[in-house]
Amino acid sequence: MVNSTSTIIIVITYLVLVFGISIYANRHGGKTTKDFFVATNSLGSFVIFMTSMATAFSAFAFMGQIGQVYNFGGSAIFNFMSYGIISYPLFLLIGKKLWYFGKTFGYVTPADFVAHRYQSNGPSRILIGLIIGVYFSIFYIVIQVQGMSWAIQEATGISTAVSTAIICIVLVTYISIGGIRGAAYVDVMQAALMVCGSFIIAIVAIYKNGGIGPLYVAMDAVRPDAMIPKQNMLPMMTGSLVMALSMPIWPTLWVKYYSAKNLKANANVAAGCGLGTVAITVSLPLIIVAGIIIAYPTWEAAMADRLVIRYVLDYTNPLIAAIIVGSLISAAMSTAAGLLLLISSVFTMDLPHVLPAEKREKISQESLLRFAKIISVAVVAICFFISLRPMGQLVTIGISLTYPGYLLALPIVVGGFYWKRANKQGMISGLVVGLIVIYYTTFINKNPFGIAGGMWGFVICSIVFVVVSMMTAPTEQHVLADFGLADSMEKTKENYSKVVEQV
Amino acid sequence: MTRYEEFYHYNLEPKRIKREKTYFIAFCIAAIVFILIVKACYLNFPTSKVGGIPVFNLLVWGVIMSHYLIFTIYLGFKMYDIKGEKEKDLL
Repeated sequence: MVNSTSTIIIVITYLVLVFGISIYANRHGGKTTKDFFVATNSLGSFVIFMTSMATAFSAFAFMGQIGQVYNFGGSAIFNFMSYGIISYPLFLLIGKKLWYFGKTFGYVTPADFVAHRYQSNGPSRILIGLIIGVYFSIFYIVIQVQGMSWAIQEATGISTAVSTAIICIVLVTYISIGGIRGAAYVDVMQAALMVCGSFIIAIVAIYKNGGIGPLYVAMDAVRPDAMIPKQNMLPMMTGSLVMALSMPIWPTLWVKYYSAKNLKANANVAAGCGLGTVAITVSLPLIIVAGIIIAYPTWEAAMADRLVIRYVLDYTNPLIAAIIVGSLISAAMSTAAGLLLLISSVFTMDLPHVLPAEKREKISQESLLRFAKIISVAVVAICFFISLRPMGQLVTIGISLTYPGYLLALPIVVGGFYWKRANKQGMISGLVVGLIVIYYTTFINKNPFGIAGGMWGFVICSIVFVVVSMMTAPTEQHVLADFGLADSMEKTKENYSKVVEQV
Repeated sequence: MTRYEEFYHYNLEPKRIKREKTYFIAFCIAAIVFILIVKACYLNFPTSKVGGIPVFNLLVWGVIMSHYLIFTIYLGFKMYDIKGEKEKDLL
């Protein structure tokens, strides 16, 4: 256990800053749901850069990747290389359209775009909102909460239940105070903290072993095969493609496009996430894991995620250890905050669409905001109870299907931008068949022919989406005109002359 | 600038569309080359000889960092025509 005085001081300082920033954001923001969830499209380049970096860099990247490299050697690094090369150019291509249409038509949730483009309120909000947005994301909050709880527990020795409760209370309080604006401002601090934390761990590993050369000599003496890739090539490569292709439309990043003030800020979603990946997750794990292998040559594979915390607590002085624990909490907190806001927005903004329009219009902004905060508390309470229990089948399904599930939205989004024949029936059938296929190829017949289940889901979803769209009636011209896909540009001109009123 | 002109500027302007198409083609080529590089790295991963992994680490990091700086930052921002965007904001 770390000197608890240092830890307590660091944690209290961190909490004071988090709450202070959230209160500042609350005073400077509007009191509408649009401000609470997408900051009324007003976040500038620097804030978007930092919040994107913080959102993408989660407890999974901080702890999980180290555990993966420890268990599987260098092949685990290739997963993250895919992000660096494939994800970020796609961010720029997809992000511009989502930013522009989001700002023009006032979108708040990912399902808003799909519902508008495909003229399909109910199915879009259930498939994109509830299943892909909520079900696949809620367990990611659980992972983040568990990561933070482990860190506090290891550092202070307090029980799992108490550390988890502290994390949950902090999370829900600062989100309720500041909404996405508060979360984004806090992320500026958290991103800086987590980058520093990662570099400090790598420097400690090098310093303790007398330089980078001696570090690998020592690792070689302890475990000569430590870094040899241990995953099969085809599942590893196709699995990493699934992760990389899905990232530009992760729902938490999707709403960042909506939040951007202008095109430059929107470009910084890619720049922020990209820098986090290339500077930290690709370059540092081999160094950090080499240090960890020297310290702990054997370790239970299932517990490898905790190694990085154990290492800093055992091999650094109490103050540095406390700072690194703080940076780990930051990494997990920022991702959990983004996901919590997303889930809250689905319940607050998507679900009321099941009500008749006249009833929906009577709901005041104050009531919706209050409801959003109640939902946040409820979601965090559910995450609290799930995180205290062993991962059950439902949780396993949620986590295993997260990236493949997100990826199913890619053909729907791209088709919606560029293909006039893309329609509601194609979208619904593609998503439903895709979900069935990824369930089958993930749990029943795992990775057929060595190709990752998510890739099967993506390909089959795309084929069904195209075939069914071609076989059914096209979307109405007045809707296509909003996206510049109508047969005549006159209709687009007419629609855009009315846009101010629509917003 | 009217709403339609703004829509045209971001979505239909021929120069912007040409830049996006070129960027997309370059992205596809880079992605294919990258997949081949990953395959080569996987098959020829250094066998923990001293110098092997640090050099490999540096090489991989250099490739990824160069790609980020050139492709995402320089070419990506050029595709967006960020310089011309500085003063613009939506209506």
